[in-house]
Amino acid sequence: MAHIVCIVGISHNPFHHHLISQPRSEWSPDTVRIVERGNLLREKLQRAEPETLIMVGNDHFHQFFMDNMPAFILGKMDSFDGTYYNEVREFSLPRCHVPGDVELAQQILEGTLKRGVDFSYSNELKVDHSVVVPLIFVRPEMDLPIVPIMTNCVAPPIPPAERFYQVGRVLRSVIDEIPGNKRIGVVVSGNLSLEVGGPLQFDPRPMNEEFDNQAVGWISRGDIQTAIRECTYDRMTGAGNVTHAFVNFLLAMGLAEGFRCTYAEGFKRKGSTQPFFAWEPKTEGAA
Amino acid sequence: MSRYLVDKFLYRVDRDESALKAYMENPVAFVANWEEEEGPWLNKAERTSGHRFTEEERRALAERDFEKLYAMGAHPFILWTLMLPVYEKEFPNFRALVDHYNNKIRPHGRPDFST
Repeated sequence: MAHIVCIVGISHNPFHHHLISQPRSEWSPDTVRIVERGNLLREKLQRAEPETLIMVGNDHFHQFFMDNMPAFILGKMDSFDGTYYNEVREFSLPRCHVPGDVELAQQILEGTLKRGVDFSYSNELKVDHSVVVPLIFVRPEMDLPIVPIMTNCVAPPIPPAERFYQVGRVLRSVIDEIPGNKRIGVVVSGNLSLEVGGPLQFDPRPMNEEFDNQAVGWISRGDIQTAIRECTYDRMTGAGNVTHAFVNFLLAMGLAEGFRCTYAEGFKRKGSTQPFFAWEPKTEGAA
Repeated sequence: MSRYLVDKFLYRVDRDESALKAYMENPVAFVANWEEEEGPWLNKAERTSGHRFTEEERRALAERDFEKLYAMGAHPFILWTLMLPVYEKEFPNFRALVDHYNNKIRPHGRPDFST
């Protein structure tokens, strides 16, 4: 059967690419530490030897808008273009091409539809920084075929936190039954407390340290019930107006059922705290 | 009120280099033209009739009055991402623009921006 070999969770902060594009001699201590953590996740993923990657992120009003806003949508193409004009303009993000795994996308789509998760799908999906930035950090070669899954955490109403977890669980059950022996890595991007476009944006301090500490705790302890209870729309808005992208990591928790969380950190720096997570299968014989 | 149409304007202009340039050069004319030539179009062939700007919305967009747009419930993410290129050359640096922007919108708290 196909199986998930490693799951990593990381920020898709588009400014991070700009930071690491500067000469190394000009990197701040924060930049050095972000790169170290990105490398740690990259190595975990590399050691797991995935053949293909499921990329979970959220479109930021690039392809999807309120004329047609899918809660969860999957891209099924044999290659994807990444990066939009305004991301080049504001963040100097590179335009890129990434191969796609159509076979896996189709298997996931058919399997989830049968199990009560009605993914939308797209045969013409262009991915934004929620996929491109994580790839730059954890698979900069951009050589593995991907199945992008985009969630709606930007245009209310968004699905409740519990739904993200359920979708992750259903995805996992579908993957576990796919014939063959495909090794699948998963890269999930999101953020901790964060504000963009609101009055606290770009504050040189964590947006909501209490939320960040609790959120990292839910992940490291695998405490999904508390996470679901606490991640109401209003609680997340109160922690910063785009904090909602944290719930992508609850989808990861659903995918990681039975795995060990082997890394969980909210990296505190000047500005918003940055998430770094990893879940790995329990090795045989381990407790 | 058409919060949706305001968001559609912000979204379309920010993501199109030529539209952004035209809006920055002549916002009054651009908004008037957009309202006829792009706003009510679902795609190149199909027109819809469900949304029109109010006078207040039309004026706020033409005046690039982000404070008013924020208070009216424009989506804060797409409002910021458009106002950033519109205003950045008027400030000595990014931080100065952010401080100005945040101070202007702060009194309005967190308006409902659902559509």
